[in-house]
Amino acid sequence: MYRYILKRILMVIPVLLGVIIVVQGIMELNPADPVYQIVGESATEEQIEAAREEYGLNDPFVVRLGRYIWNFCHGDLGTSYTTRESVMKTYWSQLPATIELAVVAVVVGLLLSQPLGIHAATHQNSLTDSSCMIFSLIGVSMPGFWSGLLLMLLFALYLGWLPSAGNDHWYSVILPGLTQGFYMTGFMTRSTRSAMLETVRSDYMTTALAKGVNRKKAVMKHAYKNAQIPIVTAAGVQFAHIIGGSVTVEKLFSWPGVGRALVTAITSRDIPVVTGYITMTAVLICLVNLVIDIIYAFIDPRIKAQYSGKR
Amino acid sequence: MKMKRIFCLILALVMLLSVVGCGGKTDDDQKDPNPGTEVTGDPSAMPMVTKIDANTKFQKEIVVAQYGDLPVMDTMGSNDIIYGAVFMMVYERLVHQNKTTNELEPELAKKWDISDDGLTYTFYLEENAKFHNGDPVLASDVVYTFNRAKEQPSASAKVASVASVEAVDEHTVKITLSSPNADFMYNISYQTLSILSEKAVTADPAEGLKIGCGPYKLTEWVSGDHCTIVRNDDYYGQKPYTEKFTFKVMTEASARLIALQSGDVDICLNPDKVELDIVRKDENIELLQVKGVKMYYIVMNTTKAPFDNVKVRQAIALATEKDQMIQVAAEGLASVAHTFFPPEMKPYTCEDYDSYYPADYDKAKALLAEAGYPDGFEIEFLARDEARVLQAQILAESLKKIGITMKITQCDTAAMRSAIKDKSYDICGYNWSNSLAPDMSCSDLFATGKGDNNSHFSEPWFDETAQKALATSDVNERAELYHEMQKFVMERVPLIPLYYENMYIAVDNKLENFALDNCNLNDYTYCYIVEE
Repeated sequence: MYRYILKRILMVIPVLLGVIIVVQGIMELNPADPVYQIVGESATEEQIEAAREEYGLNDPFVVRLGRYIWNFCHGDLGTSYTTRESVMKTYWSQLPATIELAVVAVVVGLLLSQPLGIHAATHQNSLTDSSCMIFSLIGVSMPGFWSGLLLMLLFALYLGWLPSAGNDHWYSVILPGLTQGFYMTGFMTRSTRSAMLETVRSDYMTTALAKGVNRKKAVMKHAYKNAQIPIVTAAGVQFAHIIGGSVTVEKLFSWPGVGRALVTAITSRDIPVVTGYITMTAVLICLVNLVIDIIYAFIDPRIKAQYSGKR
Repeated sequence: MKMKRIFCLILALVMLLSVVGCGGKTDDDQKDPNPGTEVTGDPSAMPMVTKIDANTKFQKEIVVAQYGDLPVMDTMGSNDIIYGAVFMMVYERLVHQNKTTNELEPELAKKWDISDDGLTYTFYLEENAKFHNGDPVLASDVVYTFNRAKEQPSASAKVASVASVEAVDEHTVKITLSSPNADFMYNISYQTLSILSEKAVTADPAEGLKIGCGPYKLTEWVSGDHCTIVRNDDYYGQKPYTEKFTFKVMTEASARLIALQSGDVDICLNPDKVELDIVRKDENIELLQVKGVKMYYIVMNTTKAPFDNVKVRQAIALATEKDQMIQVAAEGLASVAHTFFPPEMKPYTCEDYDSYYPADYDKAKALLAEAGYPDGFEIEFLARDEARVLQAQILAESLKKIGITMKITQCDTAAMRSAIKDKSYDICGYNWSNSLAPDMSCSDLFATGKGDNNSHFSEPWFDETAQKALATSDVNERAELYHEMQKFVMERVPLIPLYYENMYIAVDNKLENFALDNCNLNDYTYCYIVEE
């Protein structure tokens, strides 16, 4: 098991190299020159040239790429062109907010989607099944900026229960978390229903029911537990997606996360920030995938044996 | 199964009806068809309170929701006015521009002398002024600030004419110019020349740059999120009424307005134009408007064919429908710009409007034919936001009438700046915030080699006359020169001024003692909300 985990961690290295090369390559292909974002519009030619020298922008792409990879290996993601701050420092200062949002969204998504999905699967083709599916369709179809605005109007303006934006209180995360969670609820409800439909119809379920096991107990203890793999996978994918930066929600609620900062960096051609943030996101996504794989081992003993090389 | 089909049918019908029911104006929405009627030319949008009862209790904190953030907390880091309000409150300059009278008033410099030849300025500093770290403000700090400004791209233009800065004694500074500069005093009132503490900045640039000597001190700045300033109780001048200001970055306009309506913030900058009716209808908030001096314009690359031909540029100017652009791109909240000096810049604004390109398609076609383009040509317009796209769409329709096909390309600011600097663009939309000091609004836009000369306009007569006007202290003589320069430039039309957008802001209706600035450089220092 430990060997498996170590192997997975080492596999992150070529992934990161690939990400750095691709991101820097894409930014290089863009014709906009980042130096004008550094010096501003009023700079003279001498000041522009001095900035190019200072930031190494006159060096060939390969030299700049090599320098970045070397620094990255030493834990240095570079300095932002616009803020002059360390990219690593700003990333770590913004990441907790994004993780907080992701955790709340996942909790909301799971709390709402699991009962709905299980009920829909065990009452297939009924009115409640259709209602759950319509609800999940609305969840995945409703754009985040729209559902977020509606929630903001209801809870912040008309009821006055929650703040409209920012991260000033512990309960500030509720509205953005709910907004992000709606999409996840819709997505997870369908995933849960699909996974449950497979396990509910399996032979061991028929056997359990024939032997007199209570239906509810059979569903939760046998069917639901065996449906966990696809459910955990879907939850992990969603969590990783939110970690990467839920830009719309962060922008709407002025949530001080990674996504909002990344969009600003892209539009201002802040290459160190773009490369650093995307690379760190890749690291986190790899780690989340690893955690999911480890969770598989706890859910399914067959997979644990597989990791340990016993099968 | 049959029940299920009926249920699905009913659901589909309900969804269809709800889509049809969306949108459309109600009778209430149509009661105010002319949003421009409330605008006044008076920059004092709210009456300033001169006498306040000593027993009045003020709300401790005022929260301002703004649309963007500065990348660095450095008064010389950018000319962007996003944090202009913060800089006005946390830092001080030698002099201060009174936006109501347009006169310069003492700030850190309690008085000053100007030599007869206009080359030597002697400033006598306030002896009680202190930085927020307790250090006194000394002449050496002024010397340091001006020398630092020379090295910073965003500030160097303001001190380009400064030959030397010398500390005569602890509280006296002598600034010598290389040539007379009639706008020098206005230049040094600008935020980029806020006086910094030499000791603090030298010891720790990141933290030292946050130390000012103004009525408020910066206590927290989280880049991209918020900035908090608290009252400086050791300030030598009049103490403000409000203890704390928080400037929150809220990029989404609707979210800013909802925050104001729900009471989470007290001031909302730049509410969306389409939501101004909501502001007007809400009894708890108020819309303040004033005629602005921020000019939206279309600029052409005079170094690239066919825009290197003045007749082509004149033809495009004659096909520009400014009134339509105001109604569509500015939602009617703007006034036509005939020249690049707004009317507020009297007496420097040349008011010879008739000669400045009223729409005339026949004349435009004739000019194109004279220029050698009887069949027109194809060009590309770079548009960086929705307003520019709308302007471009109107222009494209107009240019079709004279045979010019214009493709609109949306890009972001970085891409557009790059295309302008490397002279690869054809035509694009831009804006310019006038400062009421005439030289900046003139030479920065048109003098050869200037950073904001996006058209790459280069005329020796203009460059010489701009220098001459800058060195002239007599207002009437200067005005005459600027009139000539405006006519000269507008005949050659490297850019087409479109409109001056109104400045507007939504505030809590309990906010008092605040005047909306027509340059969008608001000063909240002495505003307050009385606690009920």
